[in-house]
Amino acid sequence: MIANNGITTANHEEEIRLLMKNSLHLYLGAIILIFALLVSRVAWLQLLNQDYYQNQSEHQATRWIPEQAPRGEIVDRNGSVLISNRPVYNLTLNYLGLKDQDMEAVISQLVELVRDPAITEDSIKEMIATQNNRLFEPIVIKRDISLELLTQLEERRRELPGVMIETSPQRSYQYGTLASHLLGYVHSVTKEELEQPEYSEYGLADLIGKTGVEKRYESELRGENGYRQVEVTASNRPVREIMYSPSMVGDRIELTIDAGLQRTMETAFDETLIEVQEKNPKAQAGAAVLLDVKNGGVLAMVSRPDLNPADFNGKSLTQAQADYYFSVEPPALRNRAIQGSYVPGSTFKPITAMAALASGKVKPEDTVVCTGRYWNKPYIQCTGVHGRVNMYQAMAKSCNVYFQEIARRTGIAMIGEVGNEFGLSAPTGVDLPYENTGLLPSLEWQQKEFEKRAEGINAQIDAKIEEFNNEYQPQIDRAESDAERSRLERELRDKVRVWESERASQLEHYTNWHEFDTYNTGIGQGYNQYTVMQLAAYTSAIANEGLYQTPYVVRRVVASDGTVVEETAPQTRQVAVPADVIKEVKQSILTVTQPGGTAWSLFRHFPPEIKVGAKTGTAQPGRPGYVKNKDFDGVFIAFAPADDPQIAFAGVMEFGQGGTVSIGLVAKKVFETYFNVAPQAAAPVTVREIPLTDETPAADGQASEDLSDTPDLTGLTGLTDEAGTLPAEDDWSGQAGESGQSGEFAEDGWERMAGEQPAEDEWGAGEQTPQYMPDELPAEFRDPGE
Amino acid sequence: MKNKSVLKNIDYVLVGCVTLILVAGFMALRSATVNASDFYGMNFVARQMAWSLIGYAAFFLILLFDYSKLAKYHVWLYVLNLGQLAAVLVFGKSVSGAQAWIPIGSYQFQPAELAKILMILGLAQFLVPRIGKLNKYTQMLPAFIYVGIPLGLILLQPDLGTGLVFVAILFGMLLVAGASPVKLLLLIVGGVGAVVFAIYAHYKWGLPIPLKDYQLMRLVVFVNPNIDPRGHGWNVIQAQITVGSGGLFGKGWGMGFQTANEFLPTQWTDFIFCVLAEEFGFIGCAVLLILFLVLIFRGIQIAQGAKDPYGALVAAGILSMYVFHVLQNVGMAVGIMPITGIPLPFVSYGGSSLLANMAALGIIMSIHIYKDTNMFNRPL
Repeated sequence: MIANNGITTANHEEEIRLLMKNSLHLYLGAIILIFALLVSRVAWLQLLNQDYYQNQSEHQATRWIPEQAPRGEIVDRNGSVLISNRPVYNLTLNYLGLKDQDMEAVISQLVELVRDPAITEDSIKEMIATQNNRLFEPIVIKRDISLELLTQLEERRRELPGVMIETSPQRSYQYGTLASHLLGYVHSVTKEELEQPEYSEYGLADLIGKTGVEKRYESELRGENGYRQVEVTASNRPVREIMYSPSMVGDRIELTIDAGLQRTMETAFDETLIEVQEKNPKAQAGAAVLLDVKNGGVLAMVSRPDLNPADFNGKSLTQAQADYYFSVEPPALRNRAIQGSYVPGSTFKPITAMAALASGKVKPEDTVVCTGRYWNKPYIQCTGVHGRVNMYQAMAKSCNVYFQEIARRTGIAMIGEVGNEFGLSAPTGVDLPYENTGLLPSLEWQQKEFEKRAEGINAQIDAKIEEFNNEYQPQIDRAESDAERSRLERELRDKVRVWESERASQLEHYTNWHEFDTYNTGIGQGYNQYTVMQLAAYTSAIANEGLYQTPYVVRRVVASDGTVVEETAPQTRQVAVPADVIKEVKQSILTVTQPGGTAWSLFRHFPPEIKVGAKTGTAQPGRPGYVKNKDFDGVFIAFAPADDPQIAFAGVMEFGQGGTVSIGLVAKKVFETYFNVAPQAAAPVTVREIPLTDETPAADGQASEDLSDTPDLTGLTGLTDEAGTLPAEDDWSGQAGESGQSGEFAEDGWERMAGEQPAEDEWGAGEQTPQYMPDELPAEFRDPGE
Repeated sequence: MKNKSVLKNIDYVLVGCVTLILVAGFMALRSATVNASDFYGMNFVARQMAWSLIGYAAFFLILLFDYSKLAKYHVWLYVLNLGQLAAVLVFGKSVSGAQAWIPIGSYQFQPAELAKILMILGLAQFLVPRIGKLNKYTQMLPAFIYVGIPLGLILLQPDLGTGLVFVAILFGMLLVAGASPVKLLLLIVGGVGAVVFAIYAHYKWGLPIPLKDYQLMRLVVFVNPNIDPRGHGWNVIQAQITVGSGGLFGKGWGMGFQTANEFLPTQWTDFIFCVLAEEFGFIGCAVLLILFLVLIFRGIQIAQGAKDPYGALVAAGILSMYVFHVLQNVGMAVGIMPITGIPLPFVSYGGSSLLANMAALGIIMSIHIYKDTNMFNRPL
């Protein structure tokens, strides 16, 4: 086609010229088409859809930035601020800002900068994963960062996309650990909690009260978060504020607590623990409550081991802290004042006494002869040999024989009823979360408990018999001869018979109330278990001569503008026990602090107008960790002044060995402070020998008749020398081995220690109050393996 | 040729268009970098102006030389092109995943810009003997191979955007060289169809395709940006919001909300059109596009007036380059093209690109000035 002569070359050039001219026209046409396409698309966007895009632009450019409300302050009864707030800087991660970036690099840089062993690349990734369906919320990496870290982060802001610093108010504990169990701590809300309706308005970055007042009054303390509507850039940098609705601080909580008394009680508790530890190093835990008898307000509440709310304050715990609070015995998280169930020991005896008097079967002046041990099975030993004692003397000496005997005469039904009246069968209803109840072995409880036990026993033995049937029946079916068959059938019958008799014996034992149970109950052992708060409320009700008041810790809730949102009205009820009975027993309790009484040493320096009523207790809890006849809890209840009672105390010191030598000392110091009594100069327990006959307050030998029906008084003679030199009930240090001082255990060969209950798994359905597990372990502290 | 007559022969309409486009670019740049300059401590507009001056200098320098003398060195131009593209792969600096820059002193040299021009200058001579003989695919094949080799090197960087420009230049020049427009269109449709099918097959049957995830996602969000509105779809959505919210008259210079708050990353380069669209509205967009169209139109006239087919083809190549840049850059801003990082000629910030475009304009002007011995010296 290519021409090779001149003419054709000229033609060829012309050909090419024409061809290119045409193709350039075509080319121009194509380009005009392209430009037309572009212009029309621009027109479509800008002319036909301007409103839509304008709206989109405005909408995406505003952000609602929540402003966290400061939690309300918590103040004591005198207005001293116990918990307030301070602003802190929190390091947060905005996932939306991070996700298009090199996330690994950002996270590893961040970890390097933060230098906190608890914050690793894995932990951050886990946080992101946890928040998977709430990624629009900031992820709090670390709260309360140092100014140094803040500066470093700001300097490297551009290298750390998505990393943000937020300020938020955080709890500040003005008095450190003071009243920490009562006040509670705050921590991040968990995913599980967010699913509950009461937390529906919370976000993952929020802190909530987890225990104590902080939890109970969460909705009042929380306040209302504010919002800023802010115009932002694409990288969420705020440009201009459009709207600001400021946050509202939460309500102020006014407690019934008196910070001074609280401190006294805590210091006394800690000092006493150290003292007691010399005798028994296991002594580390316990609780005490001081109530305002006038209205039921809690003046002080201690639980040990101590809790430091600053350890939790939105931070993650170290392993050592987690162990301390949750796993190592005794776990510190537990508020033992309302969550620990303790065997009351002799502090229960006033209930027995009131039941006895109310039943009409016993009069105060009736006497019982104490020969050092009770004459009925299981022959529980007494704290000494008290001889003939009436109620006053028995109360002063805490005579076990007397109280077993009157319990026997009264019967468990009446004891249960009186205990119930004094609030021992239910939680007190104090305004704190996770309150436990104790265990009052009333008839009602027995019925339920025994039914459950019977079910357990029957199920166990039915299963056993079923097993035999399954084992023998095929053999019987296969038996080759009649002789063989009848031999097997006989064998089966024998085995079944053995188990049926086992069933009968077990049912008899475990599903019946036995007389010895009544005796144990009468002296505060056996099934008895109460929280310190229950004991305090009951003590207060005796002091008030029958007016039972529901304890409470929050007096008022005051809004930020000063209006009173809520004011606690004391809830009172008159117990259905004759007033004269209560008065009589109250009188008898006063003897305990009189010369010869078990608590005389504690309050003997108090002026006569401040008469203290008290009852000591030495309990054998029979719990794991306690060595029988060697380890005892010290229990103590007290109130004063007797004539016009103002305060009531109850406390337990685990492994305190006795009421007077441990928790009683705490009560003493608190009462000294409250009544402004100069401390005793001498050592706390100086009087070890109390001549029984000389100083027994109530007239001895005035009993109208000898009601003790059986005791062989000849047995008394062998013990009389000791009668003059009885150790005070609670002062057993160094004498534990000499004689069965505790006396409060069964000796019927069945080996059931007083207060000890059959192991739970044996019954499958034992309604036992859990002893040491925190009721609700916050999820974030749980072992991840769970 | 005397300088005086050179100045007399310069097409001032063309120069005027480019100057107006440059000014529009400065204005857009000012808005786009109001905040950005805080971060980098430099003035984008001043730098761009400086580059413009260098660009004008290059333009005047180049138009003095007769472009047609380059034709006989076309093999060497081709070899030089391959050499510099290979060099960038060996010595180049990797910036955000693409090995596209060679540092020369403090200046970052971008061989891709030079490559386009070298490719045009070489390919034009390669095509001259084939003019009118490009009606079959087999006849087009050598040209495809000729372009395919440097294109392969470009894709190795990887620089998909420049690769597409190469294809656009090839198709534009083939069209002007008389290739069958129907067959070219079929190739384009077939190519796009093949890509669509490959992606479909990739998702449906796991067909392996030589695209990185982000490249694939760009194609996916082009179809539906709402799959990942805060991720890959972000730019697609924000670009349209920015353009659309401009309306007829725009929000005014420096008043662009989307621009001021940097809803679009790299708004001083890839998304500069959005800035103009938001602040100057449809009227501003139309004026800018018309300026480009006038520039192209004058360019085509120059091609028609070229003294030889080589000049016409070189002009067509350069114009194809401009047009594709405009189509791609504006197209992605308004959502009719997938996102690729291609600058808007004379407008986007960037020294290499501006210099290359001004140099290319110098070549066009040289074609215009040296038309005297024109085989097409008769008016069209």
